[in-house]
Amino acid sequence: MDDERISLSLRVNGATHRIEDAWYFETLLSVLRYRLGLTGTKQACETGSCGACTVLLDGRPINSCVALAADVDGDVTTIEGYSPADGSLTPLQEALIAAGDVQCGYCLPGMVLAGSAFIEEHPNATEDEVREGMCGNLCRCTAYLGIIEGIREASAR
Amino acid sequence: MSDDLRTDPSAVGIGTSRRRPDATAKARGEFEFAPDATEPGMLWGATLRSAHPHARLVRVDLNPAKAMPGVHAVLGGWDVPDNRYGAINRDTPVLADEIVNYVGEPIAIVAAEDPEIARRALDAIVVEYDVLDPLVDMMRALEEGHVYRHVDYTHGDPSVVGDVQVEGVYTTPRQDHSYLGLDGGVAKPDGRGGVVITGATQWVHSDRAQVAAALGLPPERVLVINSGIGGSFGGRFVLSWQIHGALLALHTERPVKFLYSREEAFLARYHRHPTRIWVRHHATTDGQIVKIEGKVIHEDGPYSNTNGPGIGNGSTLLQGPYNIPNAHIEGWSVGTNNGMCGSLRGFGVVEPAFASESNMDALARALGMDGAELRRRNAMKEGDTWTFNQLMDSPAPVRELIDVSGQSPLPEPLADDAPGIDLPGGIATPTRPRDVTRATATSSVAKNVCLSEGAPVNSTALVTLRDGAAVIECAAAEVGQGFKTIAEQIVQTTLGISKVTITGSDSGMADGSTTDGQLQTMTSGGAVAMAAATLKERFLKFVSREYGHAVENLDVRDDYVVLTDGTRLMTVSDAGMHLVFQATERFAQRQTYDLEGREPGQPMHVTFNFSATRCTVDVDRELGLVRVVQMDVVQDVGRTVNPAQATGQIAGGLVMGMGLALMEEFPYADGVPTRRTWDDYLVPTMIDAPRIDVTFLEYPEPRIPYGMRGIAELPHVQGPPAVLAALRAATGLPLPSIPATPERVADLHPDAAPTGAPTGPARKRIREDAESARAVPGDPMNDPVSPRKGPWNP
Repeated sequence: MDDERISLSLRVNGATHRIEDAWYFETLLSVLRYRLGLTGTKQACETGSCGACTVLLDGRPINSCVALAADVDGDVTTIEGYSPADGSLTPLQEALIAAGDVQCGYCLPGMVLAGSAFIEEHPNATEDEVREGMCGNLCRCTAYLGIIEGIREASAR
Repeated sequence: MSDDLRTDPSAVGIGTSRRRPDATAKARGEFEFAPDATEPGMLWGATLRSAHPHARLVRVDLNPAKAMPGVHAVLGGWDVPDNRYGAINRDTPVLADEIVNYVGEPIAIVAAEDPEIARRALDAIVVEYDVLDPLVDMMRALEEGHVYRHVDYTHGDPSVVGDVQVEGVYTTPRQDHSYLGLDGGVAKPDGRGGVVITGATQWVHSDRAQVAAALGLPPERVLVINSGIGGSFGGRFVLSWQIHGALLALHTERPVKFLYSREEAFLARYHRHPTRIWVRHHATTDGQIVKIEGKVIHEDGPYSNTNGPGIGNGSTLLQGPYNIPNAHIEGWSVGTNNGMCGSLRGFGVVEPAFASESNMDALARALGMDGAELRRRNAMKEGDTWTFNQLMDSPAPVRELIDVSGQSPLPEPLADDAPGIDLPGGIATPTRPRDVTRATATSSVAKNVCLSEGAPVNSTALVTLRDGAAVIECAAAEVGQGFKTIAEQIVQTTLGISKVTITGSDSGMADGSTTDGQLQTMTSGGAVAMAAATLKERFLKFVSREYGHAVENLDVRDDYVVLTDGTRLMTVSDAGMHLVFQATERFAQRQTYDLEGREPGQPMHVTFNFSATRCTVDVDRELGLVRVVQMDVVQDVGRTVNPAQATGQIAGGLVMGMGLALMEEFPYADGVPTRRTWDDYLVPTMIDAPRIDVTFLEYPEPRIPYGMRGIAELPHVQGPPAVLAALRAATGLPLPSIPATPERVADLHPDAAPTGAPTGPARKRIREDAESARAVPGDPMNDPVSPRKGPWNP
């Protein structure tokens, strides 16, 4: 088994982490959650189908459940790094929860990170733009109405 | 969106959209869900599952796994002190001992230092199967008498015959809960021979009793703590990993974490039962329904689990929200080897509602009558009697619901240049606007609220007031439905104060009932309201004594003690002199009774809720592609405690029902599930999201504090009939089966639908037995229901 173990470096939320004795096939999601304790990144489908594990890699959203940790080259931002350090909310986070659509909230960190990249590129987004741009993020509780609304509001310039 | 649906963290009291107390933590990723639980020095658990739907276990050799480095324990069925469990019937093995009865059934469990080592240890276990023929067809199961429960009842004169008779056979699929939060958590030894389980469940007290019984421990040696619950929808009523985790924790004397993969969650967990339902309506030529006949078959998996109440709900709610004077209904819950079945939002009612509403669509066509008008004409009202002989003794404004659902503006016509995302099929659709047929139709549904047929429905809440702030303790599970928010609002309004918080939920608290059957708002919410009312009484008595005002002249408003004319005397905080005021109250819903053998006046269900929906769909009939454009839903909620949350429950439930209507199916082929990811098992995405207009009616529920009524299951019941009524209007097809996939909507297999009423087995081999229903110590399901108590329940 020793030949299946590797060491790797990851830059996460501005800090560099050295991971020893990781399995060579470990996903970024697994390393973030179970080796670095960054459990804000959610595990849900493990096939890149639902977006709950979304993190930003150099500012671009990726599904960390289908990214090999050893392959990751760049700056990873998780929900812990995205959220203001003083415990407050970004305008996007505030808009999403003000729009009333939080229920279980398991999809929410992924929605926030995918949404943050989306609104960068889509000022004053239309409803259809949000539905298309955010359709990689599943929510099982809501009808998406508040999520669409919240992201549109946060995209207003 | 309207401003009253914007959540506000500083909003106070019933009727406001107070923000969920956990919203900020959830948005920041700081809220701990069960899969996030961790303990120093913990091991990782994993489960070896059956590869066959039916086989005898000839040999299970755990030794190769035990010998692997990093493996701390490997256990089989013989290591379980009492190897049968279940939330209602206790006939499910914790670990298979002689026979496996479905693909995914647990056979052995492992604890190892790392999840990968645990998985490899599973591979090392040697299992020799003697493969048996699986029973995979529900009709064969019925013919051969594999029946868990059979119900058969009549109402009025079952020999009545209508001038117009319309019948059909309708089928519904196995549906997966597909909550995002995977099953998992940590079990750890408590150091005194017991175990602490941190996970996600709908009912900590039921879990405690089941885990304790399986381990051979007294209930007080097991503590079940609810961590954050990532959705539930009925899927966390029955245990998954918890007993396995507890066994391994006690064997290794280490904390053990389980976390199912999505594929394992599909395989291991129960699903909504598939059904086949024959229904026949008899009506006069002017559309008065005079009789309903039905035969309801639930395919209920290899163990009886929770399926008794399922078929009880299913056969009684087949009637729908209509007053029908005569009836003959039969129902069977049958066993197969196609995986576990159990409760999912709208338990037992989603399927008959689809069947009877579908047949109502057919009846309307046969009568040449508008579907909404047929429903209006037969609408149930307060004072009517259900076919299962229960007086409808609370509001049933069905006609008004139907009328109001037709009052919203219809969606704008489809533009000639509409982009793909607004067309059936979505972004890359081959459909063009001119290929699209649009249609609108109305449907209406009813659902029982709370658990039925004698199941205990009660909850206890403790409210503490100190320095002007109140803390609520209630063990009711917050699965995302919003109980914690509305509990705070109820106390704010009842006590007249703004600072209210609520604690977590564990089995060391008093029983808070199960988060099931849309019962928590009106049950635990009732307990919270009663406790707050008692607390206020005690507090005002104290104020009266200390400050010399007659207690009847005192009240609390906006954080002040006031005279009844509104004059402010002092803040609640000052008045309390740093003392602690407390009250505990238990609220029990009225006693219900088994469907069969009730005395006159004994209810089977606690109460009911009703909704109507007008749904507009766009369909490409040639390609079978569908887009739900708009749903205008009207539901009688009794009292809107939190408009944002109520809207969220109703809209979200409708979309889950729309998923079942159009895409969700978890099929088996020869006893083996063929879909194991969300790439195969499709749930609605943002592309599929329709416009939804939610309107509340507010006819208070009698006998319940503030007139609150449950909300959350009915919208899922409403989804499939709403979508299918509109689809039938667009296509003219009967569409007797859901999901209405493109193949079905394009009518590629017109002869595939089954016809004819089923007959019961000639020879009954009822599988229910006394042993399977035995109670275990501390089981809240078998607690006697105490008399109801409180100002709202004289």
